[in-house]
Amino acid sequence: MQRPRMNGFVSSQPSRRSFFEQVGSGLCGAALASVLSEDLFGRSLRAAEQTHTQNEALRQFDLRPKPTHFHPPARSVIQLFMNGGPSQMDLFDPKEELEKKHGMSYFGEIAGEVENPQAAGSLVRSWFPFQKRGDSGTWVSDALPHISECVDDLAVIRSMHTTNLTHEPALFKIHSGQEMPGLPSLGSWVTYALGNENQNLPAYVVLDDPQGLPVNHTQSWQSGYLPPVFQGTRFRSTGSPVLNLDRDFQEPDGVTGLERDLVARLDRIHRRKRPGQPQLNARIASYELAARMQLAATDALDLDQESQRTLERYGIGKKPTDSYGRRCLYARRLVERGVRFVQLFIEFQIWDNHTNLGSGLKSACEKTDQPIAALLQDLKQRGLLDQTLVVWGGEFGRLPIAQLPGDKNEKNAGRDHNKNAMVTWMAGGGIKGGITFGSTDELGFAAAENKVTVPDWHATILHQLGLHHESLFFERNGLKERLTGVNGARVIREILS
Amino acid sequence: MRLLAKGCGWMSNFLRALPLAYVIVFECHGCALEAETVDFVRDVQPLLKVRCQRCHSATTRKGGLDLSTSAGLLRGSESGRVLVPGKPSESRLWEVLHEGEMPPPGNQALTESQVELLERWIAQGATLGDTPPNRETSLNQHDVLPILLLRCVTCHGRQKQEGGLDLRSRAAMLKGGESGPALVAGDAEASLLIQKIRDQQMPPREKLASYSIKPVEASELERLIQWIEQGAAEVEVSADVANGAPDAMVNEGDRQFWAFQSPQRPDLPAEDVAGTTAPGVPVLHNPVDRFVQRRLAERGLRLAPRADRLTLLRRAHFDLLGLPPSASLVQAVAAADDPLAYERWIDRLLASPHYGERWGQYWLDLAGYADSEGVQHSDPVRPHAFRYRDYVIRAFNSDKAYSRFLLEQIAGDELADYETSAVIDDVIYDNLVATGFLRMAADGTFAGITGFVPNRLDVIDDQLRILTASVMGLTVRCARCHSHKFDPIPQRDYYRLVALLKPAFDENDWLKPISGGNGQAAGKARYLPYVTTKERTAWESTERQLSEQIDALRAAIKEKSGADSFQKEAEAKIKNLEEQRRPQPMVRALWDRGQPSPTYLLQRGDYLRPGHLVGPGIPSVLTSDQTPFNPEPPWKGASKTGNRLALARWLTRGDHPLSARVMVNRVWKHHFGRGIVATLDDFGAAGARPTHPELLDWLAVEFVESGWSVKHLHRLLMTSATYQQDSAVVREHQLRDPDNRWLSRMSLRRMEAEVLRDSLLAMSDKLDRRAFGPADEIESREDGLVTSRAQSGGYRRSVYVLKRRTKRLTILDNFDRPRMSPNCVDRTVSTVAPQALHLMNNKMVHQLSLSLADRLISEAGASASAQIQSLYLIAVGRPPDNAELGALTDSLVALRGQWETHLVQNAKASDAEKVKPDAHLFALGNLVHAMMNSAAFLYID
Repeated sequence: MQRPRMNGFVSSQPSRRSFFEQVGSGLCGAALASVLSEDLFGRSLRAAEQTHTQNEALRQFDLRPKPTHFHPPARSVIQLFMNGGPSQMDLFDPKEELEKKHGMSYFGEIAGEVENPQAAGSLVRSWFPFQKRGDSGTWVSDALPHISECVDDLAVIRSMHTTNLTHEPALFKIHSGQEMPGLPSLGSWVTYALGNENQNLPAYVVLDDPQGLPVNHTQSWQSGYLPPVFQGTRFRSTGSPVLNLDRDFQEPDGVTGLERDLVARLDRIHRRKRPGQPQLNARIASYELAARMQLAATDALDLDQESQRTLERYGIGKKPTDSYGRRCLYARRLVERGVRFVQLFIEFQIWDNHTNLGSGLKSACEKTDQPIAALLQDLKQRGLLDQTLVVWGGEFGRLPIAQLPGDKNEKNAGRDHNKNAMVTWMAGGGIKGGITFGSTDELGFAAAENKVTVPDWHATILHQLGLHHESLFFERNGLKERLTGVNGARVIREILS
Repeated sequence: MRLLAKGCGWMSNFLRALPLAYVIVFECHGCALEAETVDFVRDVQPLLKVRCQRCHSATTRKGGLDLSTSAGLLRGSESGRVLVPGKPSESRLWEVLHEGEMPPPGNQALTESQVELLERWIAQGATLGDTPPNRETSLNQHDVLPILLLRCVTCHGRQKQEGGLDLRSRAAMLKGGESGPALVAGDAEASLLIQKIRDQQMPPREKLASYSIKPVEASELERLIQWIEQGAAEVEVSADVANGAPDAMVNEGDRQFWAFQSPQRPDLPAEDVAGTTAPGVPVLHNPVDRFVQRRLAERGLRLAPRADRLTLLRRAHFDLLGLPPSASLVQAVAAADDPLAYERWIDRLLASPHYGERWGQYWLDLAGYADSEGVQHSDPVRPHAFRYRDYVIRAFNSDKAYSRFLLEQIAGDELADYETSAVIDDVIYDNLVATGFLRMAADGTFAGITGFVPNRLDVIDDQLRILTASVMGLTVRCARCHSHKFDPIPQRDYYRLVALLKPAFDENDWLKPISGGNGQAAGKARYLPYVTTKERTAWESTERQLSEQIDALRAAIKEKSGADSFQKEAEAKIKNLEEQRRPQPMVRALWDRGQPSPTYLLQRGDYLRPGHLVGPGIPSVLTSDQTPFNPEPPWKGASKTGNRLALARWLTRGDHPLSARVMVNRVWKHHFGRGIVATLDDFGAAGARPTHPELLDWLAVEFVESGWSVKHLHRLLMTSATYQQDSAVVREHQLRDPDNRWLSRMSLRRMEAEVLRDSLLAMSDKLDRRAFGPADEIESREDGLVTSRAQSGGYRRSVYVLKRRTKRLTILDNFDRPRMSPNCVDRTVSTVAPQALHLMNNKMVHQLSLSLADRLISEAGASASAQIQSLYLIAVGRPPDNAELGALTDSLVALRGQWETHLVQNAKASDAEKVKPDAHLFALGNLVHAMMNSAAFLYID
């Protein structure tokens, strides 16, 4: 067997072993295990390295576990994506100056940064009082009472900023590192690099909101130029969890079984005549995996297995929290089963509070605050928080000036988009809890100290999974394409434990 | 495992060692600092003059660098600063000398003591002698034009002159607008330009976002003031173009790389390399085989035996048409043992109209074809894009010379004068439609907020990337920000290409993808009305007739006011007629508009850091040194520059080092599963080397000499013994050619996404074979399933289904149809569970299986074994073998039993006989469905 060229990868023993345990006990048993082991370090490594070996023209890809670059603190990621751009100065970044200068004009200073100049109002203070919370004394507004109880596990980043103040490009940026469509998302990069520990479930699961997709629709979890095998798989909360998971037509069960056996038999005949064609083994394995996924996916989303107490903690069965609470609980169940990357969306762009920010932001908080806190606590209690990186944030922040509604009534004001400052937080997975990193200027308009770019944020997430962002690339058009691009990125070491 | 750990350890040791080495070097420099003081005028200037200024003078600013003046030294090069006072190791000037990058190879290097002298000078602060660094250098128009272009000309430029004002030249500024001159040379305070900007009246704050404009920055205003105060100088600056002077950045050594040399036809290897005496190995008539056999022989291998006829029939059908052979053809071929039959099928397949649909798709991948703009949520549809798709399909079907195909796509607007032509014939129409090639990148500039200059530069970059990666097999994209690391493509060459495209793609005079909008002259932005006169006349006449009928009905309604029933009927008729109206037929095109704005090299690719002025040109490494790029207006009186025509003519020269090789390699890849150069899009230093360099060159020359005939190439490759090999893998292959790099057999391949969908439809008689025209609509279900909408005759081929960027057909998506970002040069293959789930559980696949079952019953007769035989001929192009027949027969019996029980239970029918026909149909449907899920169907031997 040909040895692949090295690229600074080291093996990750435990995940490989657990993988074999799962596979070995599966329906396909030894056959698949032998298929996989015969070149686990041949083809799969090559897949991870891709065209590092420039003669690799066959370009076959799979989701088998791949070694990390170094021993990782985290095994999985849960991304709580806050569509629309949550307002930093109303949640995690109190601004005294804004209180003082409330009502003063500021538009002239920032005209080039305002998307809707005709609606620009004067500086406006926060709608919510702030308190210091937890042992760490992290500032959080009253809009987030439950997350307030978890602050000692959070590293709040106040100095993040992005490059575009429009939803679509900003979403592309936060999900794929660049403002353009067609590029691989963070989750795709992660699964491309690491594969999956549970071969019965997709590596990258998207839990979108039945109430509405984010503006870039399914493009938010696309694999771009990476092979489609690395794109996110949507799990639905009702009906069949995965597209095409069950027969989309009526048929007696016995018939389905007979047909499946026939396919298997035909494929064995076909393969017997064609020895030495690994593609055919992989294909047979993919049919067996598909069959197991039907059971595994259904099982993963079966909340009947959870206690009433757990359901209550997540706010399931209660009006504002039910929907997001379910997704948070699914997220825990999925990472528990070894899914690598779980991405949660919330209806359309609930945080896009152009008007009526007071009530709009509050409502967004009411839907998400309790479920997120429950997720963090639940992960912690189960000992999963250490190996699960939880990241929270939107695509940009908001302006310190008011955005006035059509009737110019300041009572109903909101805030317009702002690319110069946004707040995010991370927890678990090797993150130092109870800290606040970076700062904005006195009005919260722009990141000032210890500025964090989107690529920095990506580099940090990759780092917690044992990946050097500079060594993770996919070669095309003669270029080594990276999530973090060519302008450099820095792991935010200050927030690591 | 151990090897891995070791590899890592080595890496980390290496990394740890790096900074150490750095420190040592740095400290050594430290000791040198104590030496005598270096004087700029006495020591440094003479050295620079003798050794550097041939290329880096005020007149020849290679790389943008002028080392003849202190100002030039301070300004730096196209990549930015070259001096960091006190820090030699951070100073590019020292670095290039120290690393031996400069003077360029072939020139005598500086001596160690000379390099050390410069190092000391920088370490001591790089003082510039008695003359204090004169930062207040006099500015000229090129220091301020970029500001005006960026901030002002949207409303005061070519498309619009608000207030009668044009700010694109000094003369126009002096002339001014309705409020008077914008500029008073020497008096900034008195200049309206300055007043308006300073008072924040301009650009108007409330219009910024919708016009994609940012306010003037303080430093920019300062520069404008300085320029005016200094007298608003306008000087003649010649753009950086290839002008006959030696090129310091690309030299003869660079041009020696294999891919930059013109291909020469090599001698054919002798016939006896073949070892042709072995039984089953055909005589090597075909030149391809001799080259292949030579490489195989070097490894103790030889060509595999010929595959059987039916395997070849199926292989050739999928390769050329992307559709399975019909059952009757399979039967005929199975029956007749005609040695010449194979070559006749190839000819017949090449003549099929479905050939262009198959091979056109590969080209559409390269072009990044999509039916929508993307970027924003609205993802507006491109209603006229289909004409380009149809053009590509027709071009392949008619075997249009590849050289002509490129000419039309790159410069069709400069091939014939369409504006003054009385008749638009098929040729002119094709010319214009073909330029859609350069209009395919995703483009969000239709909206103000995603239409800023950097967004436009991204679109241009994507188009350049599409052009260079697909046609030239080269990547120039890195040179947008810095000179290419691997290939001799300096940043300057990227901006020469940008300048070349500028008369058509001008970020300062932008045509938005959708007509109208702010800062844009009215009219159909990217569309030309030049469809063929025939089509236009037909459209006009239809529209006229519709109008007349509608008018008549309206008049009748007026006359008979009061007659309700008549009115209702007439209005319904009007509605029906209105629905028959079609929008004006338009061509989505790219055309040279003359008067390009100046192109500046953007330092580090940053649009806010314009460097020196650059003129149009082609990459220096691909042309002999000192060749000027001399475009001419394409016809007398043309307002066009002829830039792209000159580019296209150069690309289609018979001796072009890349054009033919890249295309030949691509066709090869689609027939054999891997390219002779494995990296289809990168023939440069970072790409793969050819496995069969002589073969590649032989084919490239043959291709050009055949008149760039792609069909000739297919014929040549497909009639080779290499192509006709069996795909079986034997032990020797695994030992000596595991990746099939040396073509010791045919590679087993999985159907591509479109081939799979089209074949399923064809087998079930649900394929609507109508070609061309507007794309078929798609439908998306709530759970995310995207399907195509059925036409009256079934479903059309995948190439005709709407390619909306935000909504992709699920079946194609699952089977690896690529996303266009901005294009796709080489598809990937994955084997994953969602594919299995789709084929097993999708409703449409199920319906198709029942249709085919129906067809089998009506066509093959009542006998189950005849039906199974027929199923095999249709689905896998051969009869089943005994094992397969056994498996299917057994399953049919069992399935029929299950269905009978089920149907009796559900229909509550007491008579089991009555459900038998249905049970048989459903059970046969299961067999078909199983076949559609089988590897025998999905894989091509």
